[in-house]
Amino acid sequence: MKYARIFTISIREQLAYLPAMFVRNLFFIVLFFIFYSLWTAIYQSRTTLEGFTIVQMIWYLTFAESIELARSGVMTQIQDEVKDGTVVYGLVRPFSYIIFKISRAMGESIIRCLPVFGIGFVFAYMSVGPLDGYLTALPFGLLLLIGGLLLNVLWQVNIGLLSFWFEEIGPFFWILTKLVFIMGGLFFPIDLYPGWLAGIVRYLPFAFSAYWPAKTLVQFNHGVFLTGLQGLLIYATLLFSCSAALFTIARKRVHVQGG
Amino acid sequence: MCRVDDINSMQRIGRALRLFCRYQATNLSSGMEYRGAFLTQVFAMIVNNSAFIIFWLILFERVGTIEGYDFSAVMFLWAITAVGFGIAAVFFGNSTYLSRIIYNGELDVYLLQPKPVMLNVLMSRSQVSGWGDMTYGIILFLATQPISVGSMLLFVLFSLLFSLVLVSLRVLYHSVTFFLGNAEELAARGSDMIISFALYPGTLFKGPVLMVLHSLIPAAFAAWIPYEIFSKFDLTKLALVICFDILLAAAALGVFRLGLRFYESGNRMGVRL
Amino acid sequence: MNCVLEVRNLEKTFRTKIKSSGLAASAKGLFSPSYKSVVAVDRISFDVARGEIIAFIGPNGAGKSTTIKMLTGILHPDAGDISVLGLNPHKQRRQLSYRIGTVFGQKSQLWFHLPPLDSFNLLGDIYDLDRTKARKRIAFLTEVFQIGEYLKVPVRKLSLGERIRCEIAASLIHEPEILFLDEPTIGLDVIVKARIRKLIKTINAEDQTTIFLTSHDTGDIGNICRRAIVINHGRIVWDDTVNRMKYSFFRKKKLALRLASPLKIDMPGVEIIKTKNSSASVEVDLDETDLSDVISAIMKSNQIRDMNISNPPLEEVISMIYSQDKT
Repeated sequence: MKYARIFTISIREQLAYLPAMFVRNLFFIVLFFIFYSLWTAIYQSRTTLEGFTIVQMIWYLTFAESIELARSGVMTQIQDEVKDGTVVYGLVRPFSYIIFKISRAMGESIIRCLPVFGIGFVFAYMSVGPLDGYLTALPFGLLLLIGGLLLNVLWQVNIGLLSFWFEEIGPFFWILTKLVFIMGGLFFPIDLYPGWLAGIVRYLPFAFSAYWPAKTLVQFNHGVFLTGLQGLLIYATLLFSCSAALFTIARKRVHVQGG
Repeated sequence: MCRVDDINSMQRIGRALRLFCRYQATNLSSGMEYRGAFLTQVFAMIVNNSAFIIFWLILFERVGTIEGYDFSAVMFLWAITAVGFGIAAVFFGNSTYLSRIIYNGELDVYLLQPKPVMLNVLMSRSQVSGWGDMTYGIILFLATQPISVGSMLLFVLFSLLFSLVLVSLRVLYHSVTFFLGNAEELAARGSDMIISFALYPGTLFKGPVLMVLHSLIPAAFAAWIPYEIFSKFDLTKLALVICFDILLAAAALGVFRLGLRFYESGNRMGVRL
Repeated sequence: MNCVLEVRNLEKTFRTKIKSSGLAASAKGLFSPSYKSVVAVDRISFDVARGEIIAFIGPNGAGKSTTIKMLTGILHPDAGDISVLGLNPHKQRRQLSYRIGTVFGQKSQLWFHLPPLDSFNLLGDIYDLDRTKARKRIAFLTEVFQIGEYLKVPVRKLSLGERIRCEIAASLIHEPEILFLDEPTIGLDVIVKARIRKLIKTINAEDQTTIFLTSHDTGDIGNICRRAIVINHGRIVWDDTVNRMKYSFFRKKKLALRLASPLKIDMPGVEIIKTKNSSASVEVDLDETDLSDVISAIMKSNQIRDMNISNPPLEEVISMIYSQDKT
């Protein structure tokens, strides 16, 4: 009896959040709807665009967007902790602080990724049907997708740490998201970019947040996967070291100023 | 001191204008205090809008035209949306906070002032960052559109009409708070959606969705039909757009007044008295 | 016209949805909601003459705020007549708004991010005042309220007391004939309260402004008002001068005693409130016994070292009025 009651209370609690959840997901629905309308229109007069069929394009978008829209709140978390001083606890063990933040943010990202992907999946499936060869691509693609999430988290951790030096870190974040937008192949594959630009942008870190994971999933081949993996590992290590460095410097600074 | 019956309409308009200017001047000075926030908002807007310009540039370079729209066409949409949004933010800055004002009973203060309630509420706050949006939109227009007396007049007209639609829409959705409780989210979504849709070529959307885009989220009347008129002048279409916009504004005012009457009868939903 | 406010048989009832617990009940509530009627104002009538300072007192939920909202026109009554300065507040609200001022404790007329001076100027325009006259008036009010040093400080940086002074000043810019104050001293400390009360009295004296205030702070009544209306459960339970209130209810006296030994007394009309070793506090009902009898009785078995005779605080008087109303 008691469990039945707990169950119903829990359901009611979840239902109470429905409006908020609906609202957040409504934004995704509108976003995907607009994009799919855009690409359906573009593909009316062609079957492939830079080697991408409409099926691949739409699925590409779904994956790329899922990574981007699954951002965790780790940046503001760190900023708040720096502002109200609770970051002191982390200063004692900087390494574990950063790892803790990263793992927590990853958990958050993965959970947030699910409804976004769910909505995208529905739209994609309804408009173009299933993706060819997805079974083979899936394990590799998912790995890179999680890697993409990781890169985003690492960027956010670094920016969050900048709040030791800057009052407003918002501008950095906006610039980052737009860089991912433009240079990460978020709204369409980098293959569409003019040659000279594509060549550079392909290997910038932003591309590994969106382009490489999504491309692996829709146009799988081992070469693509390996490039994606390599870039991911290199940039993840770089960003991680950067955050560790930032934190160490911040720690010294805090000590000098006496907190 | 002064009695309302003593003054005639000309004086009334004069006084209204004076009050309006006073609102702007004081809000601007308070905005300057938050210079930091103002600059960051404008910066964010520039970064965001520039990213989209690059996006459309690359895309159109690659695919030619999309359902009759080219780069300059999309930039037109952006221009009037930016200016329209800016006008709404600067001159009717409370349009996004209406639900909160109703919900917290702050409406009482406005009810007790001898000015028309809705306009008074809407104008008594100004979001200074809107000037940034307006400037951006104007520069964008000058940089990407054919310049002539006619085109500039149409640009001004459509920007004003866009803000009229945006503010009316917000008032309509926020007025739901009078009847059903806090509708802040609803109004914010509606506002976001009309702006989102307005920035994409209208020709992309077909089928039943178009009905929604001509009514609940009237991006068609706010941006797409104006573009059609801009690229090829059509008096009938222009009349249609103006009629719709006026009707929408009237509906917003009507629903707001109805909500006010409900408010004054004291039967509010879950509101602090 | 000497009577500025006339209220006859004013009524207001609120309907609120009853929210029930349980999943089934909630679902039912969506389709066939049940309502509860709360009578906020139950046929009240009173008059206010020009230049009066009158307080509307009552516990929370008594109907004070509802009444003042109806008087100012922002709530319309279910039944009854109101005439404020000869106008119907609800139907002629805009006309009336030029002639009345309001200060509602929790709701501010001042723009939060702006300095009070900007708000004053804005209000000057809102009330269609001549600019020179407005400036002079603002200068006058700044002087009276002594807010000169805060004039250019953003309101959000002011303390509550400073803000309330600015609020009241703001409400007087257009020289209203009646000033409505809803809980003006709430949240203020004793010194600030005294200052505000003094200011209200000054306004009344200088401009002959009729003051109508609601409060549940008895200090407001004691110190500013000459006349008080006590309202409870939507009905008027007392309408008379504060003096008469003080005197009608002084049928009880409080004795604070310091004695040689613990108090022992058992007399009709004597209630021991507190006793501890050598001090005691006793309430004497003058309807049942005499003060002198009580004191002699105590002196018979004890020694009075110190004694203080006081009237019950106005709070108690009011509570008495409330409890009398249990009809």
